[in-house]
Amino acid sequence: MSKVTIEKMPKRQKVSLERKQNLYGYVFVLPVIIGLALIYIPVVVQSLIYSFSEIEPTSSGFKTIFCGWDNYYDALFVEEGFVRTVVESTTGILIQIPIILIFSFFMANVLNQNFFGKTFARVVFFVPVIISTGIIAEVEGMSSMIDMYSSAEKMEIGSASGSGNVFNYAALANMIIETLNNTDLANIVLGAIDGLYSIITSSGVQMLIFLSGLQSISTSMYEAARVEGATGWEVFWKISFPYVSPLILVNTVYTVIDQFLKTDNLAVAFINEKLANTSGYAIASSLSWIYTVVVLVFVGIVFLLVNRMVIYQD
Amino acid sequence: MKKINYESEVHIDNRNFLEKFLEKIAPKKFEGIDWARWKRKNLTLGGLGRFCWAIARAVIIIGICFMILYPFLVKLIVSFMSTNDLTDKTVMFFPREGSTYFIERSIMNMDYWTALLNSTWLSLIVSVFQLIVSLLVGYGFARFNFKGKNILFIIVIATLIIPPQTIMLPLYVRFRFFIGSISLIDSFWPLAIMSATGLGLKNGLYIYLMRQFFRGMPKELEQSAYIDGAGPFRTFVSIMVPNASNMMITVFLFSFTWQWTDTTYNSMLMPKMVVLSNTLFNVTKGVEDVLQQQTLLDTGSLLMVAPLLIVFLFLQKYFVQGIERSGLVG
Repeated sequence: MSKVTIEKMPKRQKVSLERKQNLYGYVFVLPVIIGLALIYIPVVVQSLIYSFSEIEPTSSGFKTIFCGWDNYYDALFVEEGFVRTVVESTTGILIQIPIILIFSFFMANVLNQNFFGKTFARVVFFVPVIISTGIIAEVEGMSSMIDMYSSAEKMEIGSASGSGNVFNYAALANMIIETLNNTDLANIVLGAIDGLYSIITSSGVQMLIFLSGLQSISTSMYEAARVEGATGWEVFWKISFPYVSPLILVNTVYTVIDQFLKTDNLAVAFINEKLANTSGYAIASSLSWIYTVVVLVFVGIVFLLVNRMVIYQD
Repeated sequence: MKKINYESEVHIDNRNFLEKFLEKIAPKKFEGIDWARWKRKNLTLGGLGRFCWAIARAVIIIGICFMILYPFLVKLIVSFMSTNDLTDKTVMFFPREGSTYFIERSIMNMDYWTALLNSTWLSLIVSVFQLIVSLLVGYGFARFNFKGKNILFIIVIATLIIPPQTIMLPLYVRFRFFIGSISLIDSFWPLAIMSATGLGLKNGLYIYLMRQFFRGMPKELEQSAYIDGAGPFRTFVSIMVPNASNMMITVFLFSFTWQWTDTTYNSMLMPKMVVLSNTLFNVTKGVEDVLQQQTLLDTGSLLMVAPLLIVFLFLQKYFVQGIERSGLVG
């Protein structure tokens, strides 16, 4: 009799200890639970209500009058430009995703090698992660608009190398136009440079994530492959690529979210414009809900597509 | 005892121009190298390929570094120009007269010093809160199996995906009439509360990063602490947190800088606060000329970014290390 109890006792205690430990999990995630329960979820529900009603500002918030799908109807069929903007920015993102991923993977591989000035190159490459977000990206956008305004003026002055052209690669652009002596070709080159710049600035975080993945592959793996006589090409496809492939999923999802939500995205700018004055509030909430659904669907599709290609280790 | 080295003497006689050149440019690297072996290894087709790749790599890296740094250099140069330099056709890159007019003007228009102080406070408060929350919550998600964990984690990730614009309006109302008619708009409170409850800007990403980091840590560390009688909090504070220092710096740097340049929440929740991301748009105040407006914008954005660059330069070592050792895989 006594033997049985002795055997049972420790087992029961272990289970209860583990359960007790797991209860601490709630304590650790408590801040988020409070935030979601008291702020986030009520706010999301409120936003949904706004999108289905007419909004009137009062002294204690907004008065809402239920009006069914009117806002959504307005957003999709009356509010011209929104659907087109969303479609345009989505196609743009669709084209950019593979380019950003391939570029950041390639550059992570390059930065992972040993060469003179490696530290300096890494520091410089991560500057865009820090800098080209939020308002700086917006100001860059504004700069190009002002450039467009003033370009006509510049042509009148006829200065190909005036200091007014120093902004945003314009001096460089003129140099390229002059050396190539061919406007069409120069335009293609300039377009490529422009595109490359936006890709560099928007692939910093992805580069970091890929680099961390590449760093975590043990060197003995490479050594073994070299002993077996594998070429660099084979090493890349048989070791590096499979190992970082889970990160391709992370990076794809991150790229999609980042591209959809950044402030210089056209659709986001459209919604922000509506949010700027009171009369646009009702339509803005329905617009942003439509946009949310678009983003969620897009993230879902991308996740499912890429998830099938990922090679998991375990 | 003197060591007589016959071999090296023989080799010195055989050295050709290339070997001498290589030893001259990098004496340390080629010290005591076996030249016969070096030749066998490097003067082949594969060696040629490696050499070509090194050249191509140098071109790519220098080119991209140039592309990243060029806008900053241009902004720096332009900000030191005088108004005459701007319209002078012969001035290409370097200002002829040079002046600090644009710098002074943008400092004045942006209310720079006050805004700098406020921005620093705001970003510090927000990023410290976000750091603490992401540490706690990331650890909770990584190590404890409680009921509803997966659903909670999915919701946290969803807060990252749902555009801030969707919740902006009700969020404004929430803080405009926080308790009764007490308004928290135009103070640091809304962002402080949001970041302390894990709802700040991109907070989901930091929680995800921390969760991945803690998942990669060996469990034996905590188990030995538990056996020694430490509770979960003691273990967390004295064992897990010190080990996460590099990752903490990464998260801190991300949240500090992204808060610094953020306009999404700032423009709605604190439109009248004197912070840099609000006052940058005033920089062209009272200037009609398009060229000068442009220059002021360039100078202003450079002034805004300068403190971030300094912080980044100080922390970059830990930043890159933190990401490398983060164990994001797994």
